[in-house]
Amino acid sequence: MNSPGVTIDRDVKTDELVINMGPQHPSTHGVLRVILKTDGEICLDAQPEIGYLHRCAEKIAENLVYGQFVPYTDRMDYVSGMGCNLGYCLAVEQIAGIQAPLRAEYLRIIVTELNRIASHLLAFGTYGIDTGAITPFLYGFREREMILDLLEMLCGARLTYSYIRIGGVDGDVPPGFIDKLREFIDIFPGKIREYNKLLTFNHIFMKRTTGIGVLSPETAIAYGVTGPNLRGSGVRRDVRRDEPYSVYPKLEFDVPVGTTQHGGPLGDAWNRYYIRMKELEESTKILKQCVEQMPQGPIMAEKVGRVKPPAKTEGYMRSENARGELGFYVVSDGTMQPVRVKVRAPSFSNISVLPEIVRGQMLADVVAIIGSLDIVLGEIDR
Amino acid sequence: MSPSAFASSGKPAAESAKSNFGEKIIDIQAVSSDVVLKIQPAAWKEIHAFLKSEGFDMLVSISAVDWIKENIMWIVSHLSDTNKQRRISVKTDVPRDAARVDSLASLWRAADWHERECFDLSGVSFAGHPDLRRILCPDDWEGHALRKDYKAPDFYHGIQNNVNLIDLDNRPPIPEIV
Amino acid sequence: MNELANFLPTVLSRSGLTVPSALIPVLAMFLCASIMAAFMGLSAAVLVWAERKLAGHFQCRLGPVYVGGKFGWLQSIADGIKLLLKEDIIPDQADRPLFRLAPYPVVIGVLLAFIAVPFSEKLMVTDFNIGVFFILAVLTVEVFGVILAGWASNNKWALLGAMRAAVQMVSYEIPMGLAILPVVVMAQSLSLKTIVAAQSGGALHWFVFQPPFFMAVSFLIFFIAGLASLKRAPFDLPEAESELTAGFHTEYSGMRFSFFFMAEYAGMLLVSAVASALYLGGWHGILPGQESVWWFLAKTGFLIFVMIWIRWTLPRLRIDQIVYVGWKVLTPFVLACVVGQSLWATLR
Repeated sequence: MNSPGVTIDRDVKTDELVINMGPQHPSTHGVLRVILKTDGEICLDAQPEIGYLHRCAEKIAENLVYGQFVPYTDRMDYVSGMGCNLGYCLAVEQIAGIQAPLRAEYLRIIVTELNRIASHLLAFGTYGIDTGAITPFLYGFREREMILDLLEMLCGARLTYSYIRIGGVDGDVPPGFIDKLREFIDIFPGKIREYNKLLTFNHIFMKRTTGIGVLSPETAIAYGVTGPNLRGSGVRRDVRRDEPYSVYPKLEFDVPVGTTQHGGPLGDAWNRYYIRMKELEESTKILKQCVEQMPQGPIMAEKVGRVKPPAKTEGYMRSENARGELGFYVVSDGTMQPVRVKVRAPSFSNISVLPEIVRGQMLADVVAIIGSLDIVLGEIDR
Repeated sequence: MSPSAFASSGKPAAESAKSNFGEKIIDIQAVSSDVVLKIQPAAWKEIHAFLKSEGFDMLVSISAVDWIKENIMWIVSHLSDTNKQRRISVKTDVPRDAARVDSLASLWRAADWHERECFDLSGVSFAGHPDLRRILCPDDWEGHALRKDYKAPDFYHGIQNNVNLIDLDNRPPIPEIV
Repeated sequence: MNELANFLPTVLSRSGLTVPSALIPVLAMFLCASIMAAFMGLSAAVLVWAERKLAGHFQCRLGPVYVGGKFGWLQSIADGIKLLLKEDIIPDQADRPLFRLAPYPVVIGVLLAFIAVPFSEKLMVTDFNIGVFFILAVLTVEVFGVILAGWASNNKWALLGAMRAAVQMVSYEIPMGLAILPVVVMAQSLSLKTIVAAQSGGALHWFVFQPPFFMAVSFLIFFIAGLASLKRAPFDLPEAESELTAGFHTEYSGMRFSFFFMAEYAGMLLVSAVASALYLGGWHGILPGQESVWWFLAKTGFLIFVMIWIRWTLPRLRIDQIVYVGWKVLTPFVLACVVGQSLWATLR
């Protein structure tokens, strides 16, 4: 019996185990390496090591003309490349003083929101796999396939689009696109209910994800965590609503934030996951409005050519990508090549909070927490 | 709606900083996206601490811009106020060969990784940073890639670097298209 | 087996072979063993195919379609050939003898247990008077192989998987063993043949439908604990691929890997077979008088289907939740069942 005041000498000496999780591990979502210090199944410390996918895209940008860098932005957050395209193009347009036509802006938002849905579906599916349920992944991919087909109709690519260009978009919608999009908007809410039934409110899943990896709003803000991860902690911040760009001011949508209704604390893994499921609905709403509001007209600003912003102009463009606040800081020296393109990748800040929230959790929770942060290594390492 | 609608949201805070710090703030500029506080490098940390107390609670990014002709580097930070939807930017000039400012890691935890990245790629050192190591490049990498005079090594652990086969400096001029 | 031993001399003499009578039982043993091994191999192949096909349909896709025609029914044969041809890699730092040894206990444990499975009244290798106990005992051998594999691989993930397997085995052997007791109390025998025979007379006489339904509860517990002891989802922690890459068999490849693989499917068959013998009336049909090995196989197949269904639907539990369920939920419930059933049997 362990009575108070009595210390027990353990005759079995246990040791800390240092485990190298990644860069090749099924649940690190790419080439993240986490150095775990564990005591049995309990994780004492986790140190993320990044950079395995580093290509120094920012250096590449300095050697290209502005428009040529668009395809590189696809390869940053490769699951929602449209959002990266948009962020970069808006940043360049901002310093070069270009205004894209209204139809192009609507097309941009349509593709970005479609891509956000695709990205959240991937997050949903892989989170299922992280917690051991494989089937949700295939369910998510069923609808993601429809989106990829739509985007393929539009620009021929399924993952790295480069559809959004400086001054507008690459091409107008092909015939049949809007009908297919409407069809998708109609069926998708039912599918979201299906996902929720299958995974979100599954008892085991909730038990697995509730109360782990609790990220308080203060910690989240201190670490610069943005996007669904920040909103999961109850902070209602969304650049699309707070500092709207493009045509977002004309669109109505909610910004879902984390709750405690599921019986767990604010900012736990389930909350972060559930925000994404809610955002699927919001993005569908935005799509619906865009399809209704989209005017006819040109899709490219006139006389854009090779962009040549004035010397010593700079601009920092904040946009809300699927993973959070994507920033492009573009500085021009008056030539056709930027002097500096700095990418502020949301996942970079999001993963930096990992050591803070995995301490004391079980090994299986580490996987569930990394999954709930929904990182893309392409943009962390750039 | 252009994004510049929020560009001036940091103006009152910038002015109150100016009245507090006086000479340490060289200029208040308005660029297309933000209000930029141009400051003395020595005041880097105290002005950030002031802005944090003003309500700019999120450090969004830290970047360095290399101006090789002027022989200076800009160190630029971007801050957000998550409650009041304000934004502000702070900029300072440092000499290229002594690019050094105080670390903000004690103000914002986010600064830890952003400063490591800035150190890794641009070679800016941050005084008082708890763990200033390379973050994206391997620890034994030489040079800082985002410096304009950076030359990539020909070989890294026996792997040939094809980038150096392209002569970037003597490329034909890019024709303008308007 | 004894029937076979009696029957063999007749066959042999008809075909003109003379075998010393002392060798007849040995021959019968070999025959039985090879028939069982062939059955096991075949059923594992069929189950792998069935699981892939079912999983495909659960996931809105088709599963294998190319190998062997429309339904891809030769897929597992192709897989088997592939596994046979693959290189058997042993890591440099592994404990070589143990690493080589580890797959055998796993397979042997499951194979041995099949001796006592009553496929029908006649069709069983041998009828132990302690059949149920024997099956439980040899099933436990499997975990030695798993722990050996985890330890000998010299891989931290494999070791963690092995530790999890040990924890899980300890937590679930007890409810599994106890879940059998109500049946034993009812049938008053540990022999599987007697237990099945006691359930003759239609579906209402199957133990699972016997009032006061203590056995129905213990059937559920047996099934859940069986899933856990097979390391099937949602209890697949020892080999949780998203956490431990592949758990205890991370370092295994080729044929040695397929041993673990085969043992899992054979184990599914075994647990389903034992469950249908213990609770679902074994070879007895739904209506009185129906008796056939096909009934037994149908019930077993149904239970396997449920296992596959569960695997492709549910997320995985966490190790503390597994232990919690094992000790704090299943064990008290099954103890209550044992007490209740004993009281019922005494008072009735």
